[in-house]
Amino acid sequence: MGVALAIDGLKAAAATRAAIHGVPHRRMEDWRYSDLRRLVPELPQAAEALAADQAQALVAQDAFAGVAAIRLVFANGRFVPALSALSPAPALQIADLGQGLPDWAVPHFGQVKHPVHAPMADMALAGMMGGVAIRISHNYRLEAPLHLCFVNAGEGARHARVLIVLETNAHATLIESHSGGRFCNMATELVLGANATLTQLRHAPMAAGETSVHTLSAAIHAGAALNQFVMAEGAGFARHETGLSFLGRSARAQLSGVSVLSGEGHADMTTIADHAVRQCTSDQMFKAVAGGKSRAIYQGRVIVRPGADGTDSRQLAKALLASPHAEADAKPELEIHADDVTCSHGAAVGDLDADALFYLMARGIPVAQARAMLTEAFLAEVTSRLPEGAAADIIRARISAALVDAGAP
Amino acid sequence: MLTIDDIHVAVNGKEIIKGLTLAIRPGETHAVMGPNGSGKSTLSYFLAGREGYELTAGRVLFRGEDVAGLSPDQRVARGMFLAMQYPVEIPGVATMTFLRTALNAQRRARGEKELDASSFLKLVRKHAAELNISDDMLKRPLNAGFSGGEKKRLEILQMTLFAPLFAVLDETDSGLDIDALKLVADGVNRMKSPERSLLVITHYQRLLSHIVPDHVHVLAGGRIVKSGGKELALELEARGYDHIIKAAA
Ligand SMILES: Nc1ncnc2c1ncn2[C@@H]1O[C@H](COP(=O)(O)OP(=O)(O)OP(=O)(O)O)[C@@H](O)[C@H]1O
Ligand SMILES: [Mg+2]
Repeated sequence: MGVALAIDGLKAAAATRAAIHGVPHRRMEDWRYSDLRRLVPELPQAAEALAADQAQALVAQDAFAGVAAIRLVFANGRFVPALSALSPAPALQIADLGQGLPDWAVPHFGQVKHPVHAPMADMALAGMMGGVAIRISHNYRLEAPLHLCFVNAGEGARHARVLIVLETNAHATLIESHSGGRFCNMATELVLGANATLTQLRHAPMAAGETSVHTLSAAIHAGAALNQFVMAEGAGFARHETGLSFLGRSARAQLSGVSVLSGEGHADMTTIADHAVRQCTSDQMFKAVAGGKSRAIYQGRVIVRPGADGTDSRQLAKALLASPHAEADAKPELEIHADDVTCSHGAAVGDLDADALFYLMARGIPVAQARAMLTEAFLAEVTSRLPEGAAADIIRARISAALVDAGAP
Repeated sequence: MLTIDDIHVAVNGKEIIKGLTLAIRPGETHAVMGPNGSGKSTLSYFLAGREGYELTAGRVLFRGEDVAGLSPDQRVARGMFLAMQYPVEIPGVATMTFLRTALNAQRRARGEKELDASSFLKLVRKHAAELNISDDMLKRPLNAGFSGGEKKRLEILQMTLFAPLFAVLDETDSGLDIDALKLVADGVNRMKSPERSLLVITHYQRLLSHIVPDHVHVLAGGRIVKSGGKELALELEARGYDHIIKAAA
């Protein structure tokens, strides 16, 4: 079948591109804070497939297991149709890429532009062990969230690819959860048709010794809106890269993130917003609480191309160091080639405000509780961006729990 | 109630309080006046137990107990309170949540039962109304964007809620308009009782005509240079600090 061949061709091309640089390392500008090659000099072999009952047990333990959702399960990188809901409604197409590429996906799959070279997305395609393509039809509002549930166990690598297409004026919520596994690499392509809206919530815990890389490439058409919230937690290594390409006027993206790190945790929030057309808005806010010897990173590049007048871009990255050995880096970058733009950026790294801490204690609140209140207050600005709903409530609860692990208080 | 016995206090290695002695008995109201930079706020922060305010000599007893080893919250649990000259803005902490957390933390520390949401709400509403504090203000983040006078009224609201045995009011009158001054003074006067003592720091006699002190002290250069009755405040207002400090030297 031609469509299966299409995937093979794309995989081969991606493998060629991926081979040029190999595993990204710190001498590559976009990877200067995250030396993946030091951690993973060679990409591991593909992880073994999980037994069905083991996969099922892991799904039951997933953070969002209790959320009523259209669930798509990936176990050790492989899409598991038996544990997933496939095309539950005519307006919602879900295709297993293991069965080839559906016609409607051909113009999009492997074609959504990432504003910069994305070596890990290439590797995810070259080594793709599982993938799905999802399409939501014109004017359709998906009420239940789509849940991409990645469960992993054991050694080896997982490479997965997801394509999500929201046609004109389609609306959906996407929740993503990831758990376990030595090395996980997933790349998502997102196409938001005119006036479509997607709310995306990602929960990405990583235990010590675990490494995960997420690459999202989003093509956003006129009047469409992406509202993304990523929560990273734990003592492992994570890279969350989001590349936005604005392709039509008055499109908007709000990118928000919370990292709560402990041990030798490493969370790298990297964003690239490519404003090629007028009147688009990118609004970013990332906050981190870093305990132990962890490192929180924000790297955000905003590109405003000639003619993209009326661009409104905001970047804010703040980190709270909950331990003297923790570290935070923030690098907002602006490349502006248009006039009449509003671009702001700010970054701050620090400890809790001593005056505020004294004030709370001088009203009878013990130090640990006072620190916890101020830490939650520090995060409130970004957590207030979480939408309503069960999945967002779980993220809120995870943040509170992770703060205890991070030693804040 | 409070015995301050020849204390020396240093901040960042710099001695600011230089041999201060003061005894406050239950039921008494003392006023401390003094020029800018004389050490009034330093004294109040020190009494509240702020980190970095180092006692280099002397001691402070609160109801017979040496407070040296007590953290700020432990002092509050024992009945001490400081209404600050510059209340801190804490965006991200809701005022009501803060008030309830603070009150219940104190109650817990004293082994008392915590207040449930509805009795707490009733209590706050009652005291807030007395101080002309609107619901709207209470819905905002703690002190964030409050006017100077609003912050001071919230300090007094806390004092009435917490009902301490001993309170320091550090320039609570500054920033208050004439009506608010009266409201706040009435609030403070309602708190007066034979078991409760006050230390009122102010620059203005006007507050002391509402909250009448039993004793007035002049603080200059980190020590009390003169003490007297309420008429001393009038004398200061008429003649200024210079005259009195020189006469005392
Ligand atoms: N953290 C600090 N480090 C160094 N010096 C300080 C510090 N805090 C206060 N001081 C100094 O201590 C002195 C006393 O300050 P304090 O705030 O106690 O004065 P005050 O009597 O309350 O004045 P005001 O009437 O203006 O409120 C001042 O000279 C001040 O500059
Ligand atoms: Mg002062």
